[in-house]
Amino acid sequence: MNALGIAWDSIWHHRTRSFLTALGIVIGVFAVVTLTSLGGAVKTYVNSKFSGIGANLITVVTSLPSSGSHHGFGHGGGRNAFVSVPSTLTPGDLNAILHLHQPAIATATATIAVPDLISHAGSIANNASILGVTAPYFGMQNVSFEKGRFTHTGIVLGSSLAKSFFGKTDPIGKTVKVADTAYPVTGVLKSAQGAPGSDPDETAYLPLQTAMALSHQSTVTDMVISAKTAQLVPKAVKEATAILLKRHPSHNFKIETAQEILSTVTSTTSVITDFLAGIAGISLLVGGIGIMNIMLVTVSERFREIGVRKALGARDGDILVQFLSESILLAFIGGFLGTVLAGIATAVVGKAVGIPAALTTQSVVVAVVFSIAVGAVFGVLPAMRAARLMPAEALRTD
Amino acid sequence: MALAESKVDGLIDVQGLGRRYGEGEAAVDALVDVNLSIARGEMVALMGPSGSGKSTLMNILGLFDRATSGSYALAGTDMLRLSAKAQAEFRGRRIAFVFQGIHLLPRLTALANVELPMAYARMPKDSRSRAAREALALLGVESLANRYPSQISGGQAQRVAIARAIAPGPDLLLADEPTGALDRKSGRLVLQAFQNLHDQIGVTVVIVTHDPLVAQHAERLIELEDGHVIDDRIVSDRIIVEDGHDSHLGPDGGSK
Repeated sequence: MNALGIAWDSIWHHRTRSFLTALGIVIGVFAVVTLTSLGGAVKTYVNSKFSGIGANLITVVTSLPSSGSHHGFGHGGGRNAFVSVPSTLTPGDLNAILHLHQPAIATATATIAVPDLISHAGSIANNASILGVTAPYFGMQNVSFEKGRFTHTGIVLGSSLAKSFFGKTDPIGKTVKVADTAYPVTGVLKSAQGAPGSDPDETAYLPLQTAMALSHQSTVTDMVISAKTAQLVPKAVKEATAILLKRHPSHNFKIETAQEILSTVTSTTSVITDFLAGIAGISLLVGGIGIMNIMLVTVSERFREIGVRKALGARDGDILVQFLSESILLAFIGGFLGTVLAGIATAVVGKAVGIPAALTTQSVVVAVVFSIAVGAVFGVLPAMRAARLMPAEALRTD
Repeated sequence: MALAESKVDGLIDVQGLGRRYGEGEAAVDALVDVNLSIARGEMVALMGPSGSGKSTLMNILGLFDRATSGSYALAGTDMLRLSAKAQAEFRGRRIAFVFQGIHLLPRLTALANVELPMAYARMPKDSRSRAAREALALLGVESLANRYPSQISGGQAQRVAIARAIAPGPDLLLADEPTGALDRKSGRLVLQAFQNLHDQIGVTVVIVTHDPLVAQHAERLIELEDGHVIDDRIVSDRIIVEDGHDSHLGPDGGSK
């Protein structure tokens, strides 16, 4: 017997009821597929952002002195009363790393954030940030110059910032003001993507010493070290730690690698995605119970049909397959509709948020397999009840 | 009480058959020590008031129900020893049913309804389609092959149901109040169909009825009461239906 044909016939005959039953699965699959697809898209997006910075970068920031003495330096104990952590990293630390030739370290830079506004001809760029850097910074951050270069006297502008101040005119040689001091523009960067939270297009770059003087600081915000290769990152971390420990015996600094940050971010997004998908999975379960409920109703409505079929020689297996086909087909239709809706929703949300998002093959396969499994699992009980019906019992309901 | 002579070519052989529902004090005996043998090619009416056990007996003969004591052999095979699966196969191939309610599946055409038991018997599409058309023709309803049950009359539907029953070439045709849901005229046509099948192709027919008039269309009458066989005799005044009209046959077989 063509079990699928009979199943479709029955589903079509009760269109409204079938649709409402499948709706539970539609919503469940829609939620699971949309969330996993969007989660995957966010992960890919974050990954690509980070790989732009380079996997061989190491960041050094100030931290509370290490309370543990596992480095063999016991001087930090009494200084744990720090509440805030003013930076203790200096240009001297940078010079030490640059000049004590270490085999795994390629180069290093230091940055300082300047909390001032930048303006040109009276117009202030409110969204712009100002960063003091040294020359290697640009190469390490993988940003290149549209025109000009970085000098020890002038200022370098990100592409959007240059455009907002000067439009189509060439900014080189013109001046911009930071805290009432005019600086000549010596370079303009190409448009680039930066790490999350920083936008090189909206940043102005001053020489490190100038920026430190401007903000009355003798310390830098952080240091960035690049290892010769990504594989040499652990070795470079060791080398940098050794040098810095001599200068900061209390171990009041922290070394982070891009890989660590990346793995932290991706594992966080994974956990959130899985958690949300799990919650969405509950609606799939509810949808499955809805199918079981309706299939039980269908079986009792069709007692007589089952009896006739059995009287005409249908085996238990034939009846089981017939009803199981119906619940699986119902769940599959729900899963299919849910996946289509999820595809639309993912594309729309991705576009709205501005990340490239699409259904992943994996999430579609999982959704389809899962909806079929839901139909099978929740269809077994009604189908077995139908199959075990004695023909005489089934025909008695006249 | 004249017992019919046991014929050589026995199809059904029932010995000491009993069916008890429930246990202990609440036990009800629907059938008690029934002995019965029906030969191939007989047309038998099984009669009795409601509660007499005739439906129970038919359910057991049709392998819808199992006896709790005694033995039941069909075409020489002990039915009570078969598994449910083997019984289903036997039922599909050897036994056919016509029910009181029409019981055509509403969303299948007449032809598809007739093909259904052969489909369950895994018969190839070509041969089951041919057999189905032949059966419809035998019942005079071949023109209705592509109609749905809702598009034909009750009498026509019952004849389609009989075509469905006989198409696979069963050994035994069991009919439970086959005219119960029909008007007199349609009922006569259906009884005529049974007689034709029996007379022309020798199908063994067992009709369960509480209507003495219907029973009179059979050759042999078995009466049940309170689970016991109380009478088993040749119908002396058999009614033959010709062109939808009754005519009586005497015990000698001649027209009255």
